[in-house]
Amino acid sequence: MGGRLPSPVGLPFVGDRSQEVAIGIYILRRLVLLVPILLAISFISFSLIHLAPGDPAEVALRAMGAQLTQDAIQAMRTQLGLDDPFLVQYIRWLARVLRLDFGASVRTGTPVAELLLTRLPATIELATASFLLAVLLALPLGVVAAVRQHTPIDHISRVFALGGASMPGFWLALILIYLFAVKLDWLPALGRGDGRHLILPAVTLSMGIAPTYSRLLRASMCEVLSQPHILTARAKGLSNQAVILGHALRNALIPFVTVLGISFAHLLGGAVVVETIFSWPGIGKLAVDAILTRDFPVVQGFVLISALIFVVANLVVDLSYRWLDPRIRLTGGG
Amino acid sequence: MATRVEETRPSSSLAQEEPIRSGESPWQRLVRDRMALLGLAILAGIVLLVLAAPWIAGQDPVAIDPLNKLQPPGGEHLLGTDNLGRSIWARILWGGRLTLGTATAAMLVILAVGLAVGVVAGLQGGWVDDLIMRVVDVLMAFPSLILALAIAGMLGPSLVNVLIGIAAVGWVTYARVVRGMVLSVREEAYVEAARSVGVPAWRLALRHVLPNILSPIVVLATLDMGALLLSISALSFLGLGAQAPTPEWGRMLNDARPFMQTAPHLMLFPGLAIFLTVMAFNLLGDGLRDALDPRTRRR
Repeated sequence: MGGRLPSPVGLPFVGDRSQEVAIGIYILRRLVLLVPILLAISFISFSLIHLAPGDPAEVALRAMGAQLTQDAIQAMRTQLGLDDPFLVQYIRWLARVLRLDFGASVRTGTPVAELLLTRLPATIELATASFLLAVLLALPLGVVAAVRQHTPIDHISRVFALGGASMPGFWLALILIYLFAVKLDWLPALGRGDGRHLILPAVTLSMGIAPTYSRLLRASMCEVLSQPHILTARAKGLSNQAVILGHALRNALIPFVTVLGISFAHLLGGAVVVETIFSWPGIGKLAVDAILTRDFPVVQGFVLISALIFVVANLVVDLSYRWLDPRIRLTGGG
Repeated sequence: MATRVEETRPSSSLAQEEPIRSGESPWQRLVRDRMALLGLAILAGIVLLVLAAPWIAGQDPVAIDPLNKLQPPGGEHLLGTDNLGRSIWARILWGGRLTLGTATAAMLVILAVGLAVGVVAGLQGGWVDDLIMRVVDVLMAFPSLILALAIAGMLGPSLVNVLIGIAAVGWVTYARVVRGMVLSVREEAYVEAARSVGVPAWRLALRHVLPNILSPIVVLATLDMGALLLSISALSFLGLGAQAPTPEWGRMLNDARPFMQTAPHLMLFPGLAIFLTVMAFNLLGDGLRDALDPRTRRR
């Protein structure tokens, strides 16, 4: 997955047709390898429902608020296909999922796919805003900390990294709500609306990743700045700004791409908490509401979709890393 | 908030770079790292306080006293009282036992499973290794907090189920790291020698392999404890962990939300407790890593 660094041994990059074919084969190979992983993910997502204590039919009836008579339980068991062997149930479920039918919410009867699709744009909006904000914060902080090592700005970047890694997101969210919504009344605390609604949740979510970004960028910049081509650039008489922005930063950003895959896990996981606190109508809040009301098909659909997004995001990150760094051969595992 | 140890994790240590002195033991390096010592001191202080809860809490953490509800900090109650008149000081101390206890228990389970699976995969090799690594790959394909949330949620709200959910996804990173270490240790001459004289596999693992991989694993575990504590508190905060009236830091923060306007101190202290504990683990973890492997020190 994206967190794994590919082997940096490599052949020189040749931009000819054979290279394009190699890229095509590599992508195809990765896509084929994805199939067993996706099957396993679907199996785990399906199996989750069987972790719930008690009969799933009874759980569904309770969630619907229906009476638990013997007849109703048996009817529900037949409706859910619970009398069939486990594997038969899984294959039937998988066949439906492949047609984008994730079942229906046991509370509202709304198709799960519809629920997820309606809520997904809000999560994407929040995650994108948080990611951009994190990059906007980390980029200058990481670069300046590397260029001005052991100065106050470098120390600030360290405090920021330590604070960010130790700060519970849900506590930060409550503090921000208290300060900016309750005390100062500058920003709305709950719901989704105009751009102002996005600020507090996006700041909270970005704080989970920005410190990591800034420290990684600093480390990567330090490494690049000590390399011979930077010395050459300086020797050529290029300005400090041109060296840093034109030469060093471009190369320092390459290893930075590998953490983007991990960021998706942070953003998806963090979104669950942040959306719940800020009543942000995304899939994270949908999932928490579904868990607390024992609406299992929704939870199942959410887990499956989250893993799918994560897997695809990691694949894209991995491919772009290889595309960005010509030193990396496109035939290695990853 | 992920529970996984990230290989790319940067150091968050505030320690000033000091020259690496040759011939210095890891312990000496740790003692020279002021920030790691600060982490250790904070952690020791917190652990002592929560262990001393029965003697210093002063009040039953679940005893309701409506006449004294929402008292501000200071006065008769050191950290004030909540909406039911319960002492926040007592609830923080007793809650710390639960939060720290759950995180420690989760880490022990993760370590036990991760070490056992990793050692078996690394020593056994072949199809056993293949099978284990494929399971690890699949579990790593899930965003960890989400899978932990779903498992804990499906099992039903309770702190034990949060522990199960967190441990169910947490062991995979350790299994992978341990397997990698076992593979390299397996090639060492002393392990080869032990194997050649017929030392059984379990004895090989316990006597020769485990002692050699234990210190990096302890560093990983310390670094990971902060993230683990954050995940447990997050799930508790969402209502999946400890249930009322049990005091637990994440739960206390959630209970404080409706009183944000009238009694903001309710959310201040549990959050501060989580923050300080996680920071202490992070400082100590960074220090331990630097002490045991000076090559990983920040530039």
